[in-house]
Amino acid sequence: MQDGVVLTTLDDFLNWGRKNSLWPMTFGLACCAIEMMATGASKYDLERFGAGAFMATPRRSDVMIVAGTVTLKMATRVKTLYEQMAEPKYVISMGSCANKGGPYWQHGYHVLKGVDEVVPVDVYVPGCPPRPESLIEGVMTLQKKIANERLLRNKCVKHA
Amino acid sequence: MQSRWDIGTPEKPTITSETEKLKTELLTLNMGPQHPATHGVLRIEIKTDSEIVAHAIPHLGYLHRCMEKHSENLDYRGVIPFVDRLDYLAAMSMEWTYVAAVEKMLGTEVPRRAELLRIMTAELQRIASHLVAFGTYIIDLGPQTVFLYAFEMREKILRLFEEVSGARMLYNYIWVGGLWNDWSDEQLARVAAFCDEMEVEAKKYYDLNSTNKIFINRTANVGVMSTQDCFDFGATGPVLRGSGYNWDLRKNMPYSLYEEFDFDVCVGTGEIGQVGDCYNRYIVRMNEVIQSIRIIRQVLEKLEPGPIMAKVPKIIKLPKGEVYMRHECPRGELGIHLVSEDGGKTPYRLKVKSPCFTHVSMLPRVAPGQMIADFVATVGSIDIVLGEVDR
Amino acid sequence: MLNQLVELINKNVPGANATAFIPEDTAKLDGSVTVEAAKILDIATWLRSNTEMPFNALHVISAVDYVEYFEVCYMFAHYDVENPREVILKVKLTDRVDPRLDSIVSVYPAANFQEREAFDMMGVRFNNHPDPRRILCPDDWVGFPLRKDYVYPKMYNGMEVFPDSKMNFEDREFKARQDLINKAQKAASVDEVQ
Repeated sequence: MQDGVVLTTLDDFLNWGRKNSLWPMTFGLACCAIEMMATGASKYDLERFGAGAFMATPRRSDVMIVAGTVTLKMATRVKTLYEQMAEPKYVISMGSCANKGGPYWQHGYHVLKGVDEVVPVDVYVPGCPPRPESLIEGVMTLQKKIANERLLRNKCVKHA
Repeated sequence: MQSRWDIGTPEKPTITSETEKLKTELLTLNMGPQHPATHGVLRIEIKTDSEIVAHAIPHLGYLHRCMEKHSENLDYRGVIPFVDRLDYLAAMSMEWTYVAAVEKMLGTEVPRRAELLRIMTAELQRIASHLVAFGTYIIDLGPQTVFLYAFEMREKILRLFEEVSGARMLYNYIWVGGLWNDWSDEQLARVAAFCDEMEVEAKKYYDLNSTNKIFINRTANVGVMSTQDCFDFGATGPVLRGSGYNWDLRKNMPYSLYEEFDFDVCVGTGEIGQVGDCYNRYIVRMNEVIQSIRIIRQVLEKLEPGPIMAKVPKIIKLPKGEVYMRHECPRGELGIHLVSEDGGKTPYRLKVKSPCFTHVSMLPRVAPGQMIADFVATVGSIDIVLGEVDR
Repeated sequence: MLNQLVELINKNVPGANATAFIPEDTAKLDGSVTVEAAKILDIATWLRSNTEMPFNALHVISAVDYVEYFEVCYMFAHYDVENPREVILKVKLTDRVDPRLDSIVSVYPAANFQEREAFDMMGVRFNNHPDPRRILCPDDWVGFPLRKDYVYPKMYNGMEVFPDSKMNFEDREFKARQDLINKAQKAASVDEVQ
């Protein structure tokens, strides 16, 4: 009888479910997309974190990994896709182009300097392109952030 | 007797007299910028008549990163990371083309060991690029296992490149005058071991995929591009060779030390399917992997110790004039038009002729009359990389 | 090869005024043929269809902005295993406000996308083009980016293109500023001692 009972809080239980099955949306734009695909492939397996089911549609996904340069032409589409995702939703900004414009910051008249101009970002992963291990650390940081969420209090997290 | 591969000619669906009485109009679909089957952010507006595509209009520019404007403000060496990011799957070939253009205008003599190592890296990069092309093409059509196999072998190549250049994907390795880091004998022994492994794997892919009845039914006789179409649009690389024309810059207008090497040019023969269809383009890429392994083995035999970097001035200043340099990259012929003014420290104009840009322009010619699933197969077989198309 | 081509063009296309530019050091630089802008369509038709020196493909159209004039370079190539060749054909446009050229899409369909890009980046308009819109920049973009006098836009559709918080200039000039500060401090301490 003692082995079959688990005591926990509702917050922890919900967060445990949410963070261990983060389904990303395939939003690979440029070179970082290839590293994202390599992270999902067999050597650096993202499936073991529960994040292996890459959904093409925003309606079914939990996290949008913006991998690659966001241009001004694409920025409105990024916003539309973000609004189509269902709550709770998270955004990982992967690569230096999505963080701050990347190598195209100085003369890029058509490059959006960072995807956080249009979408609220939870985790920034630096690199050009970030190694698959860095992206995995980004996913793990997001998992830690989700573990600290509280259902009834506000959603701002002080310590990730 | 009907042969095992006789799949017949495709039948176009006919419109009966009842449907003619109904008023029909074309439905406009958006194969939008975010799509699992377009390789990157390509938007294709498809006007369909039920399941058949009547018109396909590609819309580009979703990844326009202003590379040409950046190159006018950076010195000649500083442009190399930007040229890397053009076709990020074949970064070594992109760097080599640009650096060859600068070296031609400077008149530098690249040492022999550096040239041979450049050929070896370019061919290894060709294998890596074709593996991605093949893996992602298969995922477009449905199955997912082959993608994992292809990326497994690609990781081995990336490991070799990472040891010598420091990065997995965007290397900044080929510099003006040679290479900046040498390969040690142990690394070269690993390259030889990789070649042996890759040959075995290529045979495995052949058995798994190229003789697979479902794959053949999906890709044979689909998306036929004739040789005349290819010349009209200026298509090069596997697209031109898949349509039966024997043209490879490494053999017909050889650059660097390619004349010393013995390899075959892979041309689509139409053994299965029709010449110029998706299957022939795919089989050209698969055969090119085998030929690249041949070239790498010959390079390993010819290598001798020596310097890998020529003497290049600290600040590169090129004479007034222009150069148009073409190299055979995995996706076609990359052309770099480099214009410099007298004693200029930065390129005055760097125009990149990207092969995928011309191949995307062929889609409106090839699309009408295909079903939507066949159109997806065609788009995948052209092997588009948007970083190159939009620059 | 270039001189022979120039002779053939001048013979077959009247008014072309073709001249060859052969640099002194042909190993380092590429030569080119300059022709009259108004005759480009006739020249292209002759290049594709003639039998003495045909060019069966157009590679790229590259527009260069020399500050007083524009130069549009057409790279033609001939894919033939026996005699492969390529040539750079140049056309000079002096009108800065509205440079116009005839489109050669009817002869070389490859020119479709290439001419759209030349229009998008440099502002060179092509007559009789089947689809004269921008290709890389959005349709409502103002200005032609690769011109030498292009001014970067501040806002586009409500998004700031170069926000001050993201521009890295401080990091880049950090070392220069540190050197200045150190020099000033050294000078101040020297003054104090004295």
